[in-house]
Amino acid sequence: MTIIERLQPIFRDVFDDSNLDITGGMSPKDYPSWDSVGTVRLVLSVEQEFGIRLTTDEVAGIRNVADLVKSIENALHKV
Amino acid sequence: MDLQVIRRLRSEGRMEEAYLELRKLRCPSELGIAVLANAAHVFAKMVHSAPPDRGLYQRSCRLAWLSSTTSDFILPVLRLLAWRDGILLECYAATLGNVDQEIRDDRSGLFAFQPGIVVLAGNWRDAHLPAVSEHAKQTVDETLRGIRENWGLIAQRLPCRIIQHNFDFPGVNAYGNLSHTLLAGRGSLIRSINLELPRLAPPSVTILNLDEVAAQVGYAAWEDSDLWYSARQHPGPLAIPCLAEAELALIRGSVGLTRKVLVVDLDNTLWGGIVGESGLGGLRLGPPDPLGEGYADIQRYLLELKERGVLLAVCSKNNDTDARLPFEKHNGMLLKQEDFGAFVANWERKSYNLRQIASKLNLGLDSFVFLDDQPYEREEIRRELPTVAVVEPKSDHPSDLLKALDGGRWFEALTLTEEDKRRNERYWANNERLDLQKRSGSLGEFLGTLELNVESGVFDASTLPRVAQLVGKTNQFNLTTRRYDLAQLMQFESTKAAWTQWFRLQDRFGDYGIVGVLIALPVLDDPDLWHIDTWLISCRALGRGLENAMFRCLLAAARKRGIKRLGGVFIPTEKNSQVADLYSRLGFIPSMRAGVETFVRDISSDDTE
Repeated sequence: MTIIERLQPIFRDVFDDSNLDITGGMSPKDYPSWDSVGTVRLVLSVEQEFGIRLTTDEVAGIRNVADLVKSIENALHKV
Repeated sequence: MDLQVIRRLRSEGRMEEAYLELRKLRCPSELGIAVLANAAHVFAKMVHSAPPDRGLYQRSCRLAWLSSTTSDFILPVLRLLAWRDGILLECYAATLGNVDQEIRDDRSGLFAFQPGIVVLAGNWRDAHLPAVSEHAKQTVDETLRGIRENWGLIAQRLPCRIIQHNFDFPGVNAYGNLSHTLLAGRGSLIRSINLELPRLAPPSVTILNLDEVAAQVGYAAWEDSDLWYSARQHPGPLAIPCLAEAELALIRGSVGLTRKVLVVDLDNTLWGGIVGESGLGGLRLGPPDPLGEGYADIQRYLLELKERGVLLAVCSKNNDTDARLPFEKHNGMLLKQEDFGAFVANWERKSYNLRQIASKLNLGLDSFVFLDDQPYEREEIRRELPTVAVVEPKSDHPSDLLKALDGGRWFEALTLTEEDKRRNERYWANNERLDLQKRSGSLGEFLGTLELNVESGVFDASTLPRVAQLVGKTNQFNLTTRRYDLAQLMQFESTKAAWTQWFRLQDRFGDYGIVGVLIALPVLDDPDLWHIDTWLISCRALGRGLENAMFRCLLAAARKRGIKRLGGVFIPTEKNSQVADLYSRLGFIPSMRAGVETFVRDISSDDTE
């Protein structure tokens, strides 16, 4: 499974939307519940799913889903 | 609990089922914060858009969270876990860091919110302790003084329970071990403060041992610097499930939802092996067998639960004689048959047996906890009796059974009263009473042979904790089911105009302790009238005519103060239908007033009831 395929069910659970189909360009402005608390929930789920740890700077730098995928790839290569 | 299922149910408009699906939440510490936070987010949305029917929960409660750290993550999780326990929690959080201002401003949001529970959710940073103090005793005293001042300021304006966090320890420590061995080291100061807090706490304040929760979680998860620096979250998110469970245990105690009965299986739960197959010799119990020691520890734990008032019951799939054999003949047994309020061993379904036990003990299944090593039995109870709390162990090893039972914190209590300590004795004595009842003829004859004796008095400091317990949990003989907490009852006690009375019952077999509560209040625009605000009797003292003795006492007190009429209301609930006709039976005249059934009785003439 690609990273983005593994992110799909996470986004659906975090943003409470069974019809959500994520794309690289998706960003907080597309989703009202993607606020700072939403970001923390997203990161918690991502860290648990991929077994990684994202730094505060990496999290602050996530502007859209594509950035998130990149951070996950970086973290997986470090491991 | 499946978030996908919940989404589907909601999209189909099946909100009630969605709310019940959320109740299936199990083992928050196993689920982890990620899943919990998502479920909590969903629950918050549901409550906001389609609040649950009153029939779907047992208690509602307003909780204020005062902390210098963010509450954005823990409060939604608290609300979700409270829902699991049948409580609809409404929360208020003071703006970050403004705890002192919030408490000192009588127009603050805290007081406007009128919470029933205030959590002073501090942590080690709030104590502002130096690494080593110049004046250790002074520092400790000042810290304690500040905390007590906050309690006083809150109690002045709110009749509420306060849950006060004690102090945890910092995650890093330049002084290392010295911090604790130096008398003036920060570690020592924190220990001194934590030691004093329970001694200084008045009855309406409960201390939450944050240091113990941190120790359970472990400092690796407790201190998450990333989220502290970026979001002011303390403790770390991985610790939230454990902390939330600790808060819920005290919240359940505050609203009277502490469970009362532990039903246990026998084979491979109280001992290793199956007595019906291998006989006494095949059982593993006690040293030197490591597995046997595990079962002995379970028995020891159960004995301690029993000693503080939790009722024990056996429900085993066994022949009755086989089940009783180890109790009679095995010298590794720590528990005796008399330690149990009910002992059922047969081949019926356990759900059927639990219903029988509930009926015999006269307690609701929602006060039961079920411990069994067999997944099949646990699933049967979960399916058939969803209000019973089922212990979910990680494996069938006795140490996992015990950890799961302990971790559930279903019996967490805020106080320990004399009644609690003697509860199991009375249930055993009750078995003797029931035998006598079978032998006596009419109810009147039977009551006559019991040699009933009633004592009563006004609320005071020594009786208030027990009164509060009864007010919090009595469901059946309860005319108005007003769940006053300790602080509110203390206000009745100090108001001279209110008439309060506790009632204690004894009979030939033993002392029931305080089992009845009456509160009557004067009415503002009617000086001849007393309104009966609260009238309840504990379920174990029913059917003995105590209500008549209580009424005679109320009549005498009212007449002495020149009261000419008594009024009362019956507020129906699911459980109190047995008292719907109480006032009518006592000669009150009913009428409907604003949709509520009101009863009045003239007491100015000399006739007795």
